[in-house]
Amino acid sequence: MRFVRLLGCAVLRVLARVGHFALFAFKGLAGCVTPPVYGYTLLQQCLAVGFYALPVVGLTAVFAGFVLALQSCSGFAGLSSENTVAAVVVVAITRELGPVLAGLMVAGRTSAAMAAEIGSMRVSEQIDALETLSVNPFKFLVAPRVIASVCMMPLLVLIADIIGIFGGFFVGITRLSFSFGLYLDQLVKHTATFDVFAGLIKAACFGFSIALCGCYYGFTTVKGARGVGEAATYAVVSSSIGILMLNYLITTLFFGL
Amino acid sequence: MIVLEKITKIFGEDSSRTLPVLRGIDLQIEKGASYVVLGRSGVGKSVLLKVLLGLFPMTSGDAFVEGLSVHDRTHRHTYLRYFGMLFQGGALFDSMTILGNIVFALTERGVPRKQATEIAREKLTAVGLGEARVRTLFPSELSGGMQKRAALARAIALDPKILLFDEPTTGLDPITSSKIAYLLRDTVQTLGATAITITHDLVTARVLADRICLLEDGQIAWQGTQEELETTDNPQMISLLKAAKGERAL
Repeated sequence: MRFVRLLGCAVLRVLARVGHFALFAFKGLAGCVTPPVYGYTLLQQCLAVGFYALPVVGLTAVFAGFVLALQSCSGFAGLSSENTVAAVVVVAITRELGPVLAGLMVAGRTSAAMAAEIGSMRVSEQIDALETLSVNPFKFLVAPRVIASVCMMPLLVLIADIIGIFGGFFVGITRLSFSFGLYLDQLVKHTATFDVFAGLIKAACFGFSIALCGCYYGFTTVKGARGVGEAATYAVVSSSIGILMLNYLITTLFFGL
Repeated sequence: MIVLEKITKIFGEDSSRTLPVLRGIDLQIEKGASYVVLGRSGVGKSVLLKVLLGLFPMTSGDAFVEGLSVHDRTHRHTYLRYFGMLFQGGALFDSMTILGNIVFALTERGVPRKQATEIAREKLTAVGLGEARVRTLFPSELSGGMQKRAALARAIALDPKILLFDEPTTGLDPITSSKIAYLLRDTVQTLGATAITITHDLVTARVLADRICLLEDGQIAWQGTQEELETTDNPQMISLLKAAKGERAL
């Protein structure tokens, strides 16, 4: 009987948490589509999510491209390598690796930063101060971050795709001694607009997940400095899991067999 | 007039570990009065202010300002417009300069930017932060006392009718503390505002209070004027007075 009661309590707690998160997401979305828009904050967030994340996303993409070219060459040894390697690199980068790796990198970098910033605002009563000034914190803090993430993630992923494909191309030409013209032909042949488009849709959804998790854990921060650290950790973990789950769902939706 | 009616606040209502903080607080504060709420740490003094502002939902009871209820969400902006709040740590926005903090408070309430900048400069001068160099500093670059002054300038930016001070002198040295207490008193008098101050510092209380009340165990244990404070026989108040004099508290 005690076990059933404990199980029931745990289930209720999880449901309450899910409900709380859903309500938060709804308020955040409402903040995105209703005035006022805080233009300067939005610009700052676009820079934080997009521009400042470029180096880390670019580096991840280029090395992913290098490794992908090497591995697919070794895995498909004996087959027509220029054809196969170029196809694998392009399809893997545009469909999966570009969006997912960029998403995970931005989750680690930006989601944690959002949770820590909003969390310290919570514990230092700055969010209470906003409310007493009749400023809706969802519009001032959540909406700019969500809009910036949703808009900037596709741009980042587009750049990551280009850099990743270039990485594979570079290794193919320099290390694997493929023919420059033939490899380039195969790259162009296997680059599908639909794949790129699906990757960008994924990126926008990942951006939403990253911003929402960062803001949610920041907003619900308690227990001072320790709480801020925990909020950052939870934000990274949950947004990363969210990215992997969304990736599966969107892949099923676009490429479901 | 501020009316608090049987305010109860219990934290953790939806869990097995409930924590009652306020237990049926009844209080009436006349217009223009300066009320000081004394009490030990953790008795719910700050919670009382946050409940009055609607930052924490109360478990039961109601609060009225000029007849407007804190529960009335349709008139939320009008209700909040009555208040200027000085938070314990200042709660200045880190990402803005001192001037920016005050301009933001004003523009969010519909004051045009040019006018807001003029008012902000005027308010900063009133709290002793009129220097151009200081105005462009960020909160993290200021001392504790300067942060309190800047936060006060933000709280009075719109000439509110009610000023709420949450532990205004905590963490400051005795001289700065005294300066801040007198600055608050002068500000309240200049604005002709009603003030509620939360503190555990009797020196600050004596500077600011028309009336004093003691919060103990979530209830008002004693209330009276400064003269009545000297002759009280309330054991909790006597204990607080002894502790303030450096004697062993009861």
